[in-house]
Amino acid sequence: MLDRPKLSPAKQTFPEPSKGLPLSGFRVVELTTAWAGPMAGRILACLGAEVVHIEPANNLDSWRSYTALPLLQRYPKQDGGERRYNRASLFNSQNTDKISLSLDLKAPGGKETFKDLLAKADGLITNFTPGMLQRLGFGNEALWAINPRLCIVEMPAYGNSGVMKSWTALGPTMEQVAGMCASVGYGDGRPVSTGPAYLDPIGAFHGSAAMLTALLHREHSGHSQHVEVPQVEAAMQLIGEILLCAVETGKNPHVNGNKLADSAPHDVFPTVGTDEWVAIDVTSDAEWAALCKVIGRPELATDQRFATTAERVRHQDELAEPIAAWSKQRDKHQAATLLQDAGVPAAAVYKAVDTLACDYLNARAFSIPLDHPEAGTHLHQGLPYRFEKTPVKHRRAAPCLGEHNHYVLKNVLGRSDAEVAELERAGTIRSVPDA
Amino acid sequence: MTSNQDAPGALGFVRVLDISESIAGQFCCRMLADYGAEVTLVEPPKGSLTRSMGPFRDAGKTESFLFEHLNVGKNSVVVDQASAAGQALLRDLAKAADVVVVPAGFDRAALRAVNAKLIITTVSPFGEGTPKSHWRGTEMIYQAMSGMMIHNGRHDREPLYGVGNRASYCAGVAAYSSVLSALMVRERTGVAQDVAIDVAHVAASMTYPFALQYSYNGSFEERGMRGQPLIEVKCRDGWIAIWIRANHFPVVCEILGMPEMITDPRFAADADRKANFQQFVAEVQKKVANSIGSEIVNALQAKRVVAACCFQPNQLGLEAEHLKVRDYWYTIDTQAGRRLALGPQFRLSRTPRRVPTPAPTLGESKAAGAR
Repeated sequence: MLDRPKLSPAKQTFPEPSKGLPLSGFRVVELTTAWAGPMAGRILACLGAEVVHIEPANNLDSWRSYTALPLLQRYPKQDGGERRYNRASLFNSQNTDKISLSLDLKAPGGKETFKDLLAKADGLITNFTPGMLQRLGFGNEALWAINPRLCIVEMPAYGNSGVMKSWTALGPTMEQVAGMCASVGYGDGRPVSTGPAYLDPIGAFHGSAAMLTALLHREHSGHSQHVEVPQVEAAMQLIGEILLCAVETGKNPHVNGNKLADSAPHDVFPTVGTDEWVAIDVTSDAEWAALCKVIGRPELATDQRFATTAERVRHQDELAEPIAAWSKQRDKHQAATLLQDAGVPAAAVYKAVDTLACDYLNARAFSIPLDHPEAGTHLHQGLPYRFEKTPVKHRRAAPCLGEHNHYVLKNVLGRSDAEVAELERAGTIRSVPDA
Repeated sequence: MTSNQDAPGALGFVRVLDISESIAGQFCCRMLADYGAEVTLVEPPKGSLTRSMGPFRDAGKTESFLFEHLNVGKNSVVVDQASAAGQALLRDLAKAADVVVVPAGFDRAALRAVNAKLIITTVSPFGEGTPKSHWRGTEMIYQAMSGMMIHNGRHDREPLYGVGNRASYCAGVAAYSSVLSALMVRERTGVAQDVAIDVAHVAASMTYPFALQYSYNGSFEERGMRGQPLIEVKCRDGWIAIWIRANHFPVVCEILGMPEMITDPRFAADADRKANFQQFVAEVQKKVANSIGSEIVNALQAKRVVAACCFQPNQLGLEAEHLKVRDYWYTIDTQAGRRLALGPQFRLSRTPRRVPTPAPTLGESKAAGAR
């Protein structure tokens, strides 16, 4: 291990609960790590719930990036600082609006504290492999003995039963099992997984939808329940028509870069700059004619090789050349705008800098500044929910490790200063990780 | 998939009108139907747009797998919105609904005028009144503007958008959550409201935090150069993927039958292994080319190594062992023959999803009443 300095704890804060939001007044306890689970909790927090992310100091959320070889590009100014677990862009992106309770369930008084918190909660959400709750002594029946109104959402990769239930998984491997990676590639048979794990945000949207379903049902009927969100099975729904077709007819999708079997051009074309592209999707003959005009080659609109969709698919290598000759002379944003203004679906392929500059995303206030006591003020990317009367947005930067230990213990659970001090002395609650 | 058809649905108190005419909107309403809402798909006389979108079962392109997938469990009603009679019918339907899902530009005021309790949900590519409201959205367009696409694929090749309509579908899931949030507010306060989801906005929110990293320090990782410890290799029975955490390197080498790699100077230290990772991938590929991938994955998983087999879509049918034991697929008998439907996105213990009725023919109503 690296030689690490003795760390001082982060300052304790006592946040105000949200008011007037869809989930104001609900408390959700989150036992999660990395992306899918924390993002599910982040969605619920953004919608107004008080989400308590439990992160043991001896087993940090992996997105706090407290690994032996730190990736410096994860930190403000590429500097980890004294407490780099509080400055990790990954963790800080997915834990906005949350409460951090650094609680070790296995330490003295840990389980009692967890039970007391569950008694005052509406939901519990986890994304560990199945059986983790049972092993800790918190199976469904035990949880409902503590709090019969608790809605329980588990997000196992492959489900709580079946041959793969105990398998460990990450987004890139779940995407393989969902039948997606085999359907992406350059036509050489090699599967391609989405650069950054795409199954994680998909799991997050599903996990939060599951909790909302259980909470709304409870609100209406008075009954709580357990919800299993098998992330791979859920994600399969997102390519449902492809799976139905393949299973029924045996035919897998055509895999050849961005090209489609039944429509052309559907591809990216190089523009001015390094690794800069414009995506163009011509879906009709009229759009093809419009594109030919935009690129200054109106005669191609009447060229028999490109007259119909079927002909364009057959001759797509030939039609790529005049489009690329045009696009190479242009900025990607300009190329996309010229085409869209003519009614042709097109877009610049964005890099991070384009996300921050995008007029549309800025109109949606997608990137908003949040102040973090240790990471500074930066532009955080938000969520897509828009409500007329209960508008939501990220309100608070991600917490430092254990930043709300005292808030939870004292304000929520009513523990005395002496009791809190005892839990701290026993190492049950901490705000400094193991070296 | 089988379940108790009599069990009440979680959303059994909700009636929905689906006028959305988009993948995201129809998927949102499909989920509402999955969990017990009574959903009516409002179609123009020539049928919903998704009926003419592929892939198709038949060469004549009359049976769309996309339409079926998006609309199992719904009823269909034909409404000619261009006629006065059609508009009157729509108002009557809206009077009795709790939720309506519409595209951008829809006359929401007309719906609100007949039903103050309605949750009116707008699902559209780029929203209304934004600088790109007039832009055309298709899946690759959303992926391009999401900030995700630029990271997909090889460093020396063009970026790849992915497959299918994943961002559009996820926008459907987000719209579902928006509807439930608004129903929660209505349930608690009696106040109804409009909600909205843009597919392009959802796509951007699904991106790894590259933009925050850029905001933190101006750095940007290029496609295929992020150094993820992911190996994809081809075995006799297909591709497998292995994610090699630093502490798993020795056990992976042991299981693959190449213990000499543990002490190979190219890979011994963490930093060296990172620098020479492609050489390691090549060594593994040589070693496993004639092995059974599923056996390797089983052995790795027994040691808690993250690994998986790469499934082709046509390997995920009724006979797929891992799905069979999960009772995943629904089979639905229809007059036209047996139809399949994918299993639920989540399984509720008290109010499980019911076996869906088949996707409706134009104007057909047979999904069970919700109330």
